[in-house]
Amino acid sequence: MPISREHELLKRRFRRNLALGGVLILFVILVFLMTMAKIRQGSLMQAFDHTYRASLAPLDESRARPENDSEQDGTGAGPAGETRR
Amino acid sequence: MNGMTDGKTIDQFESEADFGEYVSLLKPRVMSLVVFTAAVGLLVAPGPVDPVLAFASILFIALGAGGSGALNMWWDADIDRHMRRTAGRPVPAGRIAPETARDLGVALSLISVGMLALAANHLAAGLLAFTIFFYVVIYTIWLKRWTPQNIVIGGASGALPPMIGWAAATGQVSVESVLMFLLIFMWTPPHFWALSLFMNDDYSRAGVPMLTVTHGRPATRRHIFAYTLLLVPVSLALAFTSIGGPVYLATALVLDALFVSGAWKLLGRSEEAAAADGYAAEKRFFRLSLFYLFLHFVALLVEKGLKVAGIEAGDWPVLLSGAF
Repeated sequence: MPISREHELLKRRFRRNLALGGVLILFVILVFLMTMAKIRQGSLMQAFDHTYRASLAPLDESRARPENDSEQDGTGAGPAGETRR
Repeated sequence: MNGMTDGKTIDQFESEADFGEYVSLLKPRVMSLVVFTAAVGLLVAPGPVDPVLAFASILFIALGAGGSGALNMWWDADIDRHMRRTAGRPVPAGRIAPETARDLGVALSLISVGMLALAANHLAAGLLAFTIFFYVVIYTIWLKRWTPQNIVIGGASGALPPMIGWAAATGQVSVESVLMFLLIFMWTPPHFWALSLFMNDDYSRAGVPMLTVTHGRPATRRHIFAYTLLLVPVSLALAFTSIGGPVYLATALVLDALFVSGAWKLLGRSEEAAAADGYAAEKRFFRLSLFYLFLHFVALLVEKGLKVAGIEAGDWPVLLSGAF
């Protein structure tokens, strides 16, 4: 078998790998752009990860103190654990 | 083990597929129809969609279609080998191993469903998963080799993309998306049966029980005419939804008249006359069927464009509308 034949095979493999690499890079760019679009929309970017976090708890309106209460007590902050996203 | 010495013969190395062969495994022509109808479903839906997420959604729907195409080629390699139309495909031609097609199909299907859930919503992803399942398991593995009604029932998988596009944009299934589904669903039998009228030898050789093989051409002509008549009310009903309008109605009326007239001509043709002119009328009807579907969806896009531009018939009757 002439050496040139083997060479052609390697070239073909290289082209295939190059194309696959290009596809993977485009995929990474697409995922990045999707993330940016989701953030622009204000979508929640966190999920449950083995532990509860206050920021994931739904806002309980009945327990939340009105804003003017916070102003009256002089702290300017809401009650602990009542998070607002 | 060295990649060059992993048990392959010289012939296998020489026939090793190029990247383009892997792309052809995804049935790019079918993908283009899926992309177009899914894009129309997404674009005509009410409400704004982020352009990046819209693009990603359509891309992943196309990828799902590609994955199911690869799985179809893996399963059907044995019958594809016997048909002129499909013998040159990468798997029957021996350029890609069946297992490679299967693995690529499974991987692309899983990636596309997962990514569509992230790009759009779970309903759209669920519909895409159902489409892939229906095309591969219900149509390819079960119906195709079993019943002459294969393409009637199997047509559901090709009809779902606009519904997925609509669901990606709205998160709902609505009357409008169901009618877009029905339009493609009812269009599929006349389209494929027209093809089988002049490709009958292929299907006979492969042993695929197409209607032309099991019931003969005259029965197929009658079925084409009946399904064409059933297609007309579906096509017209879309005009009286929130995505229809006068432009769509005018387009649908002209196309329906042409399609019914074409089916009527096929019905009246004898096999001798058809064979004498090389199935010219059947080929013409097949080409017309492509334009029929394409122009219906273009008309829906035009209606959307007119609405966006603020040009719409103010008192147009919307008789069918709403989400399920």
